[in-house]
Amino acid sequence: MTTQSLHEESQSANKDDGLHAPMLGKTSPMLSYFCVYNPSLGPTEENTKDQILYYTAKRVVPADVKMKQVGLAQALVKFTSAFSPSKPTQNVHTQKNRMIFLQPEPGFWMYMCVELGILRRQIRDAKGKEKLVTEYLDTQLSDRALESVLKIGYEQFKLLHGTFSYILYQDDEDISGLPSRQRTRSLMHCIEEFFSEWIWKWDFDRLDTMVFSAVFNGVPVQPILRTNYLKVHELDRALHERFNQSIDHVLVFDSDEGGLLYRSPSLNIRDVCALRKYVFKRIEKSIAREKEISGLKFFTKSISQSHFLGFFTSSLSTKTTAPVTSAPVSAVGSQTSLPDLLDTAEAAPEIEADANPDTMDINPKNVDMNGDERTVTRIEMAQVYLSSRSALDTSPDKPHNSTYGHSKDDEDEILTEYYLVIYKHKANIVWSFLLPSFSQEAEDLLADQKFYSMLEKYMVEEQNLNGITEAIVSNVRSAQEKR
Amino acid sequence: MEPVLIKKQDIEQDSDKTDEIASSCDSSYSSNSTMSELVKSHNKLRRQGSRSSVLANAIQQRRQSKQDHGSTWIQHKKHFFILSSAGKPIWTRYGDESRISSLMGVIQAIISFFQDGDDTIKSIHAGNHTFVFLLKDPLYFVAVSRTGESDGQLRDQLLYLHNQILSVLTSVQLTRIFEQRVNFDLRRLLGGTEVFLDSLATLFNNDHSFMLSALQCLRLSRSIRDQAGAILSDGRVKDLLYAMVVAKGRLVTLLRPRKHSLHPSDLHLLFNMLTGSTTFHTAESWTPLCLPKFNSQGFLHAYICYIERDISIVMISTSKDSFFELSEWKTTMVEAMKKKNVLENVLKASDELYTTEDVGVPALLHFMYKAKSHVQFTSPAFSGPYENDSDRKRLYRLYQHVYDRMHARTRVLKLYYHHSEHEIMLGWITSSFELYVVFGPATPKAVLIASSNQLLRWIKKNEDSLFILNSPVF
Repeated sequence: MTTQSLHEESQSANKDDGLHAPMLGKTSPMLSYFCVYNPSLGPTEENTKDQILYYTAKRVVPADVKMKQVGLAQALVKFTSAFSPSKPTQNVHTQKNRMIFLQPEPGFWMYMCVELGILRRQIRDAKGKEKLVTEYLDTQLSDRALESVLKIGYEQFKLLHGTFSYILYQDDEDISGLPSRQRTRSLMHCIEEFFSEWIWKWDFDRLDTMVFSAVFNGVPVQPILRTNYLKVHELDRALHERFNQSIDHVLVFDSDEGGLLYRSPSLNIRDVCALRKYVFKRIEKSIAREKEISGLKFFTKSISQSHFLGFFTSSLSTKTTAPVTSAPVSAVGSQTSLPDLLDTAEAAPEIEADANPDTMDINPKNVDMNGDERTVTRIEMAQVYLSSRSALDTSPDKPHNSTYGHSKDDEDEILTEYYLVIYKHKANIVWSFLLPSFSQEAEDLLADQKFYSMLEKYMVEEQNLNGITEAIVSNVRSAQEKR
Repeated sequence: MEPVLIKKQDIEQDSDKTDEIASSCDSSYSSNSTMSELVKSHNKLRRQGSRSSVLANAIQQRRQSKQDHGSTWIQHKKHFFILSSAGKPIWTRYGDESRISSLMGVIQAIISFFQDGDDTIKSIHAGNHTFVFLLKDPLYFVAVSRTGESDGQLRDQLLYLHNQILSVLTSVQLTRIFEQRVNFDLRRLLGGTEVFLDSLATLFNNDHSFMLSALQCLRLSRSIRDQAGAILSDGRVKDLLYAMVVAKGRLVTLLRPRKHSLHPSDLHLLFNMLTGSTTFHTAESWTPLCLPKFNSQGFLHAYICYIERDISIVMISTSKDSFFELSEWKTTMVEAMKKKNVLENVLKASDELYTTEDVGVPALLHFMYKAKSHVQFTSPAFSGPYENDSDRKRLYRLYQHVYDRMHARTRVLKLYYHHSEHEIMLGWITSSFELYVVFGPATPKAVLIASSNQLLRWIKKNEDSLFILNSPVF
């Protein structure tokens, strides 16, 4: 029985280190390598290796091969720019691989190479001899889906760290010189933190399951009655006033289906898309961790609790009024989740044994923009970067970003840093609050332990949070029944 | 004296060919090595001027500056490049080969990078542009297009360019040349045949026969066609392989050996030769050529003669000495045709191509019907809303788009309905035919179906005039 393959199989189709014959059947597409680079960081012959900000590959790759791959990417971009200067290379189809390019910011490139799935069969040819046929499943990998993998990656990175340019150049007017080594290193660190986990979680066989959340990148909206919507809106306004405009934006999600219930009008819809993914990621993670940690204790404790707001912070205090986790929640629907992000920088230790063992940890994002560690506070939440402007922002008006998102070609996107505080209500309604970090008042509030209980108290007592929640929940239920 | 292809400009034939490899084709193509480079490139640019896809003012701009590699060059909608595996430019559709050598170098570098990794680059997508690569050692073919055509369609077009080169050189010669000298400049051997590459490139945008892999025949009444066929069969010359009568790029009748039918792509190359160069109009021509699908390794000889305005007789022979016999035979045939009024009728038919109105189906704007078993297709001349260029172009691309969607490899579709603000196109594929019909955008579906069926009946009824059902064999 001869095994003649049609595609020079014997040489290298199977890139395993072992040299055994390739298995019959189907091999899934998988990531070959992924790279983030910026040519301007290594303009001369000697320091071309500085161009690479991040590189990861399926197997160990020597440095010169990395450089060759980056060189190839640049050659491809240059070649296509000769004909299509405004829109350079997006993807390359080869016999065995697919390469995807994305330039999220001018000069910065994300570049990914995916090996195609392989189908190996044995067939009998005309003479009755058995032949090994190798087929590269080119049509099963959609370019758009792969591009959206990179786009979502960038979107989430930008949410948590800001843009590449900002990390590298800060507010420097003059970016013609090379940035300082320290900044370059901090950018590389950020990128590695984020992408090293993220890129390897994708299952390229199942890209079709993320069509709506990633390719179209929209927000599912859970409709509620207008009266309820207005009540939430009033609550939003009231909070805004009560805390002297420190709470800038509010988001409300229904965590059962992942639908958006309410967003402050001042919050850009693009930001809502990005935040939604992140919020649900955190929720999932916390649920997982909570189950891990608490086990039985969780169940017994929670049932006996009378407080119903759950926080995603750890609490130092021994205050008995500190709220407690909500009742067990249903898992968030799979269509809303993207591959799990392991939160980076797990700097905070596990919750100390305090009065509330059931509160959940969130992971801190204590590294601020200068790369310095903040003074360690015990209140932890996420720090995010959004393009929505804060009401407290009195800097001169730039051209208005419509609430329906700005075009992709926005230059000089100015991001504002916010603190994101996530609350999960017992009825699976998730409230998220955004406080601008440049405001000293907001900082003070967050540093103040009492803030959270104040907030809770205010919402419950003065704004009838429970009533609103019940109304919303019954709304949602009845809508579901009708479907 | 052996008859030669006489170009309009009378150039002395260059008999001083030192390459022995080239000796087999020196008799027929007037060599360009005596023409100065300047005149040659000037001719090329002049030819390109009329086929340019760039707007008129850009052409103006280009005439003013001798430089034809400015911004107008990249604005062309479709470029073709042929280069050797060593990176030497061989042919480019627009511009001058000598000026794009750096671009060819980049292409060669990109291709070889992938080859080093035991991989083969197939295509690149960037915005609206598609770059398709076809590697046929020792030549590389690249298409750069923003016409919206798919990768597969562009690749097929590149294959045709490859076949065109084979038809001049044969595959044996081609590989041998480059084995002996990797840096050989193939342009010297291609001589005056770049004309045919240019015309092929233009035909891709105007003739669906390439896409459909079928032939378009002249609509002619059965009796006249049979008469023409009888005349062809009569007095057949020894060593003849094929003989045919062609009118305005459409086949009238074809005489073939029982065992060898002519592959459509070979016929396409022949038709391209007829339309691609005006030189055949002036005299009888005798040229060696290779028909790649018939036998890619050897030469046949073709006798071409225009007997009337757009009507020509083409004969393919296996022997290179039968020119005189074929010429005599042609004379007898022409006499016979004139006597039986065949010629007159063919002329009339080619002048008055049928239109949609002749079909008489309500709401129908245009259609294309391919009869799979005959490997032929038919399509009316343009009329009504498609008389102007831009609508015709749009319709052309629409046919391409629908064809491509229906034939994508993973799933072959049976029905495809495309509705836009300009027209509705229905694609319908069965085991015996492929039909693409065009209606106005407001046509209701019931009318579509009824009209399509009525059209099919009309085609069935007129089958023997629309298609060549029985071509004479020997």
